[in-house]
Amino acid sequence: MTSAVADDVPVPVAAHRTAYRRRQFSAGKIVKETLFYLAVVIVVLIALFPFYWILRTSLLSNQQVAAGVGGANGIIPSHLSGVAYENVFTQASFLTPLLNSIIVALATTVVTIIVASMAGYALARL
Amino acid sequence: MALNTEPSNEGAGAEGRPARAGRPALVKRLTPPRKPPRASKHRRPAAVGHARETGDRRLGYLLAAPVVILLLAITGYPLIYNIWNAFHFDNLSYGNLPHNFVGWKNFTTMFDSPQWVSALERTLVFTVVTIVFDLVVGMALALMMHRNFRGRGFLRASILIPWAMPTVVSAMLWKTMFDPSAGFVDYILAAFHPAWSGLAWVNINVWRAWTAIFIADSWKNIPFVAILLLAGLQVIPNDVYEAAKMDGASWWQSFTRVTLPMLKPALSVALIFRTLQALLVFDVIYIMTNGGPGSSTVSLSYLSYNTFIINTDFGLGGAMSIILVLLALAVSFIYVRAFRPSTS
Repeated sequence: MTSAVADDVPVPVAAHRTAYRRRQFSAGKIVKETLFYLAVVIVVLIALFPFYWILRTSLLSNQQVAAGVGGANGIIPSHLSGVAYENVFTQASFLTPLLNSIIVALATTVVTIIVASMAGYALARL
Repeated sequence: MALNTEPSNEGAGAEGRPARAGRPALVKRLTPPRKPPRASKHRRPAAVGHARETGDRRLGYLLAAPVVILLLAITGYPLIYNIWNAFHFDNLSYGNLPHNFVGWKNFTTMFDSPQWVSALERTLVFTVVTIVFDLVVGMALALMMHRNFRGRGFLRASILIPWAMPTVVSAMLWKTMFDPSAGFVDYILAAFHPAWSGLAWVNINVWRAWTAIFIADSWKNIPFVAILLLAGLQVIPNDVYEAAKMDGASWWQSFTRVTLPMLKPALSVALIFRTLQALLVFDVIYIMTNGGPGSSTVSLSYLSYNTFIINTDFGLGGAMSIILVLLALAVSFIYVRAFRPSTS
């Protein structure tokens, strides 16, 4: 939605782009663009790397996690196991909390929507 | 329409209970009849107009009542009960609740306690540092997301993801990341300097604990600031930039003279939200450090929680939360005054 708005507007960026195309061999421009994309990559990495790390850790066995990071258990581990996902359903009491969350989510959604839509109607229409 | 069936039920109720005297102001606010296009759609001829009006009022009350009752129950009651608490001595560790009225004693105890004063200092410093950092970095990210380039959608999506997580989850996440054996922070730092491996972040060193809290908090909240500012950037018309360019403004000049002034509304909203969140910071600290090492990362909210729930000193805890609420109110009042549009 927001991006659509921005796409429709031919902003200075567009002007800047044509200028870039005209002077493609300007070294300063190339350096600037490279630095910009480098910054984008860094930002994306900072935003997403923790998620990757959680995924990576979830695919390790307990012994691998206890052994610490490094060697075969580096940033990209050489050996993965799904034992943690098995344990979630067999050992930990995971299903009851899951059920509780679903109950709470449904109940609050229903109550909030009913109460809020009633008040919203009263405030807007009457 | 469904609209027409409702007043008949309500009319019956209206006859049974005559309108009370003290209410008309509220009724007027709830039922503004000066909306010609909408009102005329379901307004009957003048003969039943009066009954219709009272019926509408009844319906308005009836529909708004659940929200008012809910808000009173979950916001009003605790607030008033807490004010009552703040002026009484109630402490479960004394075995019973004596309910002794003690006047302002809880407040004087609080202002005299070094714990509270240092928690206040920490919270204020944390607030100032986080809002400055969040606004500067959020501004940079907003400008980055505003630029038209290949992969912008991906950048926007990845910046949004941390913001969409509950604070508790992001705090747990970063606690794991800072863990010496399970996290990546020490592993990556060790690549730069061998002495930086195996640093315990969370519960050994005050500065490291605060750094961890600060990073977890910023990681989650900077995207919020960035999205707000991006929305503000998108409504700035292009002509003003063109005009600035015509006048020979450099990038920096057009940023400080055009972008920043026109971003003022978005900036003020971001500033208010972030300041209040930072003043009331609790969950990140509770999850990551539990106030430790010692009590060096105890914030005002955390101290109030600790006093109230853990030490069951309801009077002192109540006084602390009252002061915290007043502090937050004062800050938002100052902001609203400071950012009032000068044109109106």
